[in-house]
Amino acid sequence: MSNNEKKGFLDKETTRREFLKLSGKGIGGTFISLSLLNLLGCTNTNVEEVAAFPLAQGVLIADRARCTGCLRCETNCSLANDGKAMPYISRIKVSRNYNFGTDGPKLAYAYADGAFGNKLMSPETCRQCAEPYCGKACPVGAITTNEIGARVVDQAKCVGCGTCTKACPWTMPTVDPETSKSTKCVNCGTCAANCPTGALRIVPWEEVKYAMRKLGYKA
Amino acid sequence: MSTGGWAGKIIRVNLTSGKISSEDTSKYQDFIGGMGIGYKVLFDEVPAGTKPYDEANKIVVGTGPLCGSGVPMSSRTNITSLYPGNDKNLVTDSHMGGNFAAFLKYAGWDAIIIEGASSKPVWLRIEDDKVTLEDASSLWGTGIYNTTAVIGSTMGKESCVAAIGQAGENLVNLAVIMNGSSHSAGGHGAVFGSKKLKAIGVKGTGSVKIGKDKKELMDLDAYVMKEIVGANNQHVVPSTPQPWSEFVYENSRWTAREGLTWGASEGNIDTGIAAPGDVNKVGYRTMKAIKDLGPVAAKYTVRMGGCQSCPIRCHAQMNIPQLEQYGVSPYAANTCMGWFSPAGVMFKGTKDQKEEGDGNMITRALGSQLADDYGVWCNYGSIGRDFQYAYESGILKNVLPEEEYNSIPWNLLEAGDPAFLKEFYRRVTFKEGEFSHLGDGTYHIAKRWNFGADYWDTKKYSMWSPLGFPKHHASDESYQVGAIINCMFNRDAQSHSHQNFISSGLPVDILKKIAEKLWGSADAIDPPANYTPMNQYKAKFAKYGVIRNCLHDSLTLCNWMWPLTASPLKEREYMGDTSLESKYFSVVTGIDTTEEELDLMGERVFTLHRALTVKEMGTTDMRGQHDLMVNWVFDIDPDKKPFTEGTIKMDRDDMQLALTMFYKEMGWDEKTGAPTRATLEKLNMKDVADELAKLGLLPA
Amino acid sequence: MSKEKVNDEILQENLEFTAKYIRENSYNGKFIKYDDFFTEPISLKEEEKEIFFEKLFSNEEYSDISELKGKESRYFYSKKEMTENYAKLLYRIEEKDILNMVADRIRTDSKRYPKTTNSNVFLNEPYNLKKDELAELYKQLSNLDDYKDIKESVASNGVVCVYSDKFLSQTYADALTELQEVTRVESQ
Repeated sequence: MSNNEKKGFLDKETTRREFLKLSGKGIGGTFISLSLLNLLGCTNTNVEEVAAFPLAQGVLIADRARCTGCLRCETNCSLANDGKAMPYISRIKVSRNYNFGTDGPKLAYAYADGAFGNKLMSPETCRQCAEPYCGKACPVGAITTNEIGARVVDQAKCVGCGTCTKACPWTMPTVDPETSKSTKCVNCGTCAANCPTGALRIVPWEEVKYAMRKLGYKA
Repeated sequence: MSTGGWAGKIIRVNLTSGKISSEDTSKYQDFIGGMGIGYKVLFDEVPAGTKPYDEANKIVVGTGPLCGSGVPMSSRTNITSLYPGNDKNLVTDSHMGGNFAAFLKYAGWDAIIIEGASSKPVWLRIEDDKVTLEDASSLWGTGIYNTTAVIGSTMGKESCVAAIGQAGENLVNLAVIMNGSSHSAGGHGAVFGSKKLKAIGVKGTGSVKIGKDKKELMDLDAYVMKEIVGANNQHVVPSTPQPWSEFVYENSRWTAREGLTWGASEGNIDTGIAAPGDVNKVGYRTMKAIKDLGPVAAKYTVRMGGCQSCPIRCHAQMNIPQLEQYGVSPYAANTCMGWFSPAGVMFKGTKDQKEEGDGNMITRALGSQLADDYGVWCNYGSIGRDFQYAYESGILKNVLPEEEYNSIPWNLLEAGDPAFLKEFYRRVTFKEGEFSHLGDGTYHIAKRWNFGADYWDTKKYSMWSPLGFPKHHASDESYQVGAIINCMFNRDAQSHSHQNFISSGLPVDILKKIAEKLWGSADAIDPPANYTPMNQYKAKFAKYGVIRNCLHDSLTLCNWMWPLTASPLKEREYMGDTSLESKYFSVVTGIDTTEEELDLMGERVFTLHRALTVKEMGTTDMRGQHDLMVNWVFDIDPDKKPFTEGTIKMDRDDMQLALTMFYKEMGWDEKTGAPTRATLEKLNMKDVADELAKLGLLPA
Repeated sequence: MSKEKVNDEILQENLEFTAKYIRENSYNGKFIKYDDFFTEPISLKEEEKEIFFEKLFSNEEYSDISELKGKESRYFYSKKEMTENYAKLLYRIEEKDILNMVADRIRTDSKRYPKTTNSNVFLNEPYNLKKDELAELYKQLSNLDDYKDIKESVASNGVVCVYSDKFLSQTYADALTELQEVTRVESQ
């Protein structure tokens, strides 16, 4: 395969869509396992809409089987990005699902996700969506794309209205109550670099493509 | 005041009046936080003679400036109150890890002072600045797991709940307060119960501010993660030979190796070679499941877990389907004594069910779930030993009414059937019959059932003090140093500063080199089971142990990991870094503080503990009435002499000398072991000295 | 470019690759044996070997690469990534010198820590002896003059440890066994 083809892949939105549609299907033999794709969870149909944002170079993924709930990612994220320890605005969310998973306590909590259940953590990461709901919903156009393609909040423009939080299907962007500005993942990688169990990784789309190819998908 | 670290506010809840108020933390800044605030509140506000379940008793749930800041191993909750486990009504601390402490900080609070008593069950709801008392009538009578789920569904899934179970409600002396699914603090559950306080739920959207540049903090973290931190208990040598290590020490909790997996995880995750420097493997170093539950446990391990901010994962998270036959969840989590204690109750052994060792594993996992949900504590494993003594000595048969005795399924105990645990914990929790007095605590039960001298004087039962608490890394492991430390508190000593260093896995010659640098002489420590007479360096080492322990419970850091005295790196000559607490303190609070200055603050907290003990006991005679040891310490190995190879037998005169030298190091009265006015004033506690003087409790 | 210069560059590349390969294997607890040099991925050619090994051992950059000579093979490892103690152990395993492998560990523990050695440690990585093999081994040890210093010490809970009486008396060994197997388990 030539270099040109590789480059072409990264630029092609269709591939991205294919990947998103793939979510939930098994991809084995690489770091990108079924459970990781599940966590990405980008299965919504609106993905087909017209692309207005350039694709991110990579995506932060969490391997829930390796996540031990130490929550160091949350403090590291906010220390690196905000200069304070503040899990509430961490761009990776683990603690809010710690005890009872993403759905919260249910009658059968003892068998559901979480520390009070099957012991599995539910780390949530920003998908850097091809068509970011947060960015498209922002009434002041404060969410744009940075040099590595991550969707970022322009602090000067942000009015802290919380529209992005509501727009995100996974409630990932969070308005910092101390600054009244929204915060979201910028793919800085601090969380992954410091995860004590290597449960986090920013995966380049290159590798996503490789995983797909190995399973016979066109990429 | 600082620019970072502390939240700056403390909640005061009066359960009698229902009044909730906010106080400024700066009043307690000299005492740092956690334990320090707890002692100060009790000294100032709880009159001598108050009993644990009196309305006048207070309970302080505290964190410190480093908690929540992201400093490794920093989400510790320190709980201070009077302890009901003996008749002296003295102050003790109970501690828990988990997420609670950090979450309290994010809600904007350093501590909670709880006073008075409610007439009906309540729980305390903390959502940032909004703090309310809620009706807990419908929760009263439920276990800790369900209580957490109900409060979680009320407050939101992101909340963290610290609760008592039925044991605390029923005023079982040995009761816990627990947060998360396995983080319990032992000894004060019934104080909550006596105040009709079922739980505290907390969630917060705030931050812990960093006094200095965030980069300084992150650089310190990187340094600790790469060069200093070891495995659980700061063990720095692997348990099996590893390519990266010169040494091997099978008791080490650095278990990571190729082929040892989290066997019930998706993909059967290998703990692998987790060499020093590889920061993304630190969390695999300790596979506590096999240490606590035996080798069979590996394949039932979903993952390891633990506390917020801690890279060392010491709580095993299990999926053991066999548990369902006992009506509990197959999922169980715990660490250390949480698993060991039920095995102590099943002192006749356990019967394997399908494979070698599974009986033991199932017993521990079942017992830990029952004890945690009911909220029963074990007095550091003593509940099983008390039971064993009472049973084997025939006392139990004499003191229990015949009908009650016959109602207990002894056949299950004898057969090693874990189902016995359901009977055991239920009877203790619900105070069913005479048997349930096992939950009163060793001191009370030994008196009530008239235990013989052989109970106290045989090492097998692990008692340390006539006050009814057991040894916890005492003379049997570190001679005079462990003995001194075990005499200092009002329950089993929870100091690991000394023990973690000694059992770090390094050979004695290397330990001695480090000791020489830190305490002035290699004679500060002894080779195992071959100890020498007391010397001043041991007194310094003991002081380091206690003071760091108090510092950690005030900062709050985990003393099961801190201080980081040794390191896994040969190029550092295995030296850890004892200045790290002060470096973190300086960066997080923004107040430049040296190691010596911070140690002095630890000394202040510990001296206040001593002053409080003097006040509560109404005597300065700590040596004669408090710093006591049972006889096995001196009479074990009748055919051996102290200071000879192969014995842990202590010498009575030498031990009194040890206390004298330690008192001197602390600046306490060398005769009585009580703090002097000069020392109290040197430590900025003139008010404490004045109060003791008023009560006639300053040494002459 | 001259042919010689090209060859030099190739040699240099091979050396760098080989050193890296040895280091990686050392990190993972494995020796590179002499024969491994001539197969994938190093694929050293017979005619290159003399100059290759000469450079490997003379160049400062590869000073961490060490060699142990066995009865039939030579073993290579990086001192930077594998400690000498571990290399010695691995050497015993490779050379199937099981008696000394076990005796080394026991004597080192007895002499340096000092401690006795839980008799079952040899069932684990990297020794990986089977239970019956280990039992047979202990029997052999007790019958051979060279190992008659290896003795047994039993804790009060029945756990069996072993030690060398060159360094520990029976009394002391028993106290150490009790400390390790009983006392340290009581205190959690």
